[in-house]
Amino acid sequence: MTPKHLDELDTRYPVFSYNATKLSPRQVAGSFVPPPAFQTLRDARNAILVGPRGSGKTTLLKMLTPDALSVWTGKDADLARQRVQDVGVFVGADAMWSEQLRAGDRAQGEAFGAAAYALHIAKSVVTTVLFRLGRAGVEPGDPQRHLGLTLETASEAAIAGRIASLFKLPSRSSSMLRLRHEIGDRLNDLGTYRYRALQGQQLPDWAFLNPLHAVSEIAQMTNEIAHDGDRQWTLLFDELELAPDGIVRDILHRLRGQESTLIFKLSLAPILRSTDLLVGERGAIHGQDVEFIPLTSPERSDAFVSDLFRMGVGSSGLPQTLTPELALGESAFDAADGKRPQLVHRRSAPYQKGGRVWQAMDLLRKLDPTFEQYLVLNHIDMERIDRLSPSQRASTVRKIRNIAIVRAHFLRGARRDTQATRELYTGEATMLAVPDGNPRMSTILVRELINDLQASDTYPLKRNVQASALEVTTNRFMALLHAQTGIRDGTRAVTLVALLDAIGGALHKRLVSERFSPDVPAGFYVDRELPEKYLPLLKQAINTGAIVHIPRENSTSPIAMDARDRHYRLSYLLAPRYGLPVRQGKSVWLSKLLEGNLVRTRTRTPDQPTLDLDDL
Amino acid sequence: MSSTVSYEALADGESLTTDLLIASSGYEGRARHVSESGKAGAKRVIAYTYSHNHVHDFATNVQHFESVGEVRHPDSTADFRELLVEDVRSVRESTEHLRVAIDISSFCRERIAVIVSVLAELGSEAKLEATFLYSLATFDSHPPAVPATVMINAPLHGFEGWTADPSRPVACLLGLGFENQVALAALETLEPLHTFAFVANNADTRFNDRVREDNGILIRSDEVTVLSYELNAPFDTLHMVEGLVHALRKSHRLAFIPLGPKPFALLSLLIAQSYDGEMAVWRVSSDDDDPQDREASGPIAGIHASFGPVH
Repeated sequence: MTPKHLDELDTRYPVFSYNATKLSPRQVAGSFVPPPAFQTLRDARNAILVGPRGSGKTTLLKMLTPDALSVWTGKDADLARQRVQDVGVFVGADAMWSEQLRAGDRAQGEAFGAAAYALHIAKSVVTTVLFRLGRAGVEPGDPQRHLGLTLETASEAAIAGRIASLFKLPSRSSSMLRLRHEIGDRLNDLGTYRYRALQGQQLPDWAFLNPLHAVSEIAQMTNEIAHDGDRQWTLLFDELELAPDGIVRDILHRLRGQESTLIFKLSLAPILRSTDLLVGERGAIHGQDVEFIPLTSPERSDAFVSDLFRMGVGSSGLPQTLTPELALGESAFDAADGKRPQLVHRRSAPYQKGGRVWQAMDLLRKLDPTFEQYLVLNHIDMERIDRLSPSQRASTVRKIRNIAIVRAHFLRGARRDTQATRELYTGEATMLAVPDGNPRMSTILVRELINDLQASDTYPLKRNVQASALEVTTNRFMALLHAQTGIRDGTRAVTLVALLDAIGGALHKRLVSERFSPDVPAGFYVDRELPEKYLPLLKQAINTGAIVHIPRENSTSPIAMDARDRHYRLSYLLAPRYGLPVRQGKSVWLSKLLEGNLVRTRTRTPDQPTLDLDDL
Repeated sequence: MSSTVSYEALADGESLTTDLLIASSGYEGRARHVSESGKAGAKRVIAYTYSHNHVHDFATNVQHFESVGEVRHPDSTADFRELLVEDVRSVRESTEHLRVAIDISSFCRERIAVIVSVLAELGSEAKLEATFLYSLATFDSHPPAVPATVMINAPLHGFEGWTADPSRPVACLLGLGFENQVALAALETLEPLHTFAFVANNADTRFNDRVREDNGILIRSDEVTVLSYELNAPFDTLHMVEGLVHALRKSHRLAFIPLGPKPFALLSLLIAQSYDGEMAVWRVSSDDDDPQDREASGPIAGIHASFGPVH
């Protein structure tokens, strides 16, 4: 029944894959490359992972479960198994489940969602116990189960009975498998109360549960019966912001005190309503009660993509000696001035007369009188820059190099978001930086590059081929941004992409059209002059990773109630779209940055009304 | 509300006799096509307006429905629901075996959801027969593709679905239409493990070309299974979709995303209703401040559904 025309299409775009939400812990472990945050999370007591969509929160939490650890074969796997001695219970949440709980809450009040989530926790605990017993999630030929458990039938029945009692189930199950079904049946029963509310039926007594207390009891009892000492159990709550408010508050509250049996490792989006329990006087203290682990960084995150690349090479039949440097070649932005000296001998001489950087700066000098003036005022002699020592070059040329390259590219007539502009971002150092440490986007880029390398006779890959891989990756990221819900501004709709276009366009304009400056802004500060109505769009920008928080003195926490009073930069994934170099720089007030720039509404017709941020 | 739902095909040229035709009196020219065709054979006609977008054929439609029946002016979805319940109940008072026809062509998906849920609710009290009708539209009355601004991305009220196992992966059954990016918005939100995209076959092949063009990024991905269905054969489509639902529901949480032609939305709602609230029906909607007139191309497709009490 596949339409005929599909056979004619030969391009394959990854649209939804690379999402750990839909994968089992076993599947996640199959391709896991540990980012630096994994070690911190693994070794922390209570911890909160903070990051946008695609930043790897679900993957990291699932990798702490016994089932994932059992089958992981990576080079750090043995160490991880040795260090992780607590029982990880993964409790997931997603948008669909969250909407279902909310619908129940509308019918029955907040207790409905709390009951459903409590039963979900119960089911997750039982699933974990079943894995430890070897009754679920195991396959023939599996290695030894991490934290495997052996129980006599009577002991299992005792634990199952206790779980049934703590979660107020109708019968006292004698087996864990049966218990799991009974919890499912109870969830089904609970679902009917959405309709029973219409007939005036309130939630029954069994719906009022205390799941965290119950899990603590279950852990202690299991430890005792299995002679497992005082083993701790870690509740791994993913996307906790989607859980019912009462549960979120209960968990965050418990972070303040150290539980004897339970550890909490959570993942949260960077912008969150219930921040009062995480910041301020009532909040858990970072380093004492809980470890905050941000999954975005204002710095470049090349190493992670490089590791993924090496893993991709290793599993694809390509030569093991194929490094990212060999595969991708030099980047226009990557002049060999001080970085990785062991590689310098293989590189071109970009500052030599006729070299890439020299050419770009020479072209800019001819096109841009303000750049010529800057060189004169700062005593930079283009004929001699290749003779500068690394330290002299660092203090004079390196800080303007990337700006000059981009400015020259556009002043000679290039347009943003084109194949020619994407080619500017090719080469090892920039290609590795563009995914900005986002595992999902990094995976897409690496997959494209590995496919290209397999189809290529030579390397480095041609720049147009690399640019196409970049396009696939950034298109995928844009699809995520276009998917965000717009806001109403009077009768008009404004989208996240429109706001980002305004910010990116304004930064590009300052970079290319205004007087040359080495201090041209590369980021922005969300000041209080920006009307509150745009905060939801900024929240989307942060929670999708389109903008990245830059910690400064008064805004170090990775979590905030809204975007205000904090510094950000655009994701490097957006650099080709807006023609910006991959660099950090000073911030400008967002309200000032957008002055005179238009946030376009839908592009239905050329003369469609636009929203002028001047009137904000 | 529990009720049983069963279906029958509407035969070609089958003439109907119904107690009531429920229609939408919106801005589309095709809103009055079923009524004008006499297809529903209705003793009574009630049409419902919307409180906004009184443009294009709105005035003509109101005039038509006032001449053949009654026009209601609900000012919200809740108001529409209340009026609908009242109207259907009042018609039922004068007949032993209620038969209603519903022209879904110009109703929005939100109101089609209300209609299905009201019929199920009333059907749980006493059996009623419903025939859903749909006027196919001309290709020329569809606007060119534009980037959409997603304004609503959430389940339809009453069709949020439920599950005994939130850890099961999600599978989406997606009706594809001309909505740029809107399908991706829903999939980004629901993060399905499997996606089945349904493309309507229309006698006018320009529809198919357009769907392919507008959904290129989705269709070209190898992560979506594309299936086709006949737009003028909703009963066959229902069977095909229900077969897939039956195969998937034990191992997945299911969500319909009924973009594209309204019959797919109707079938999604009917199937979700018949599984007693287990599946979600997702509503993704773009900005609607640019209403597009749709003209009827002539053919009328339909399906019979019977709602009855659970015994």
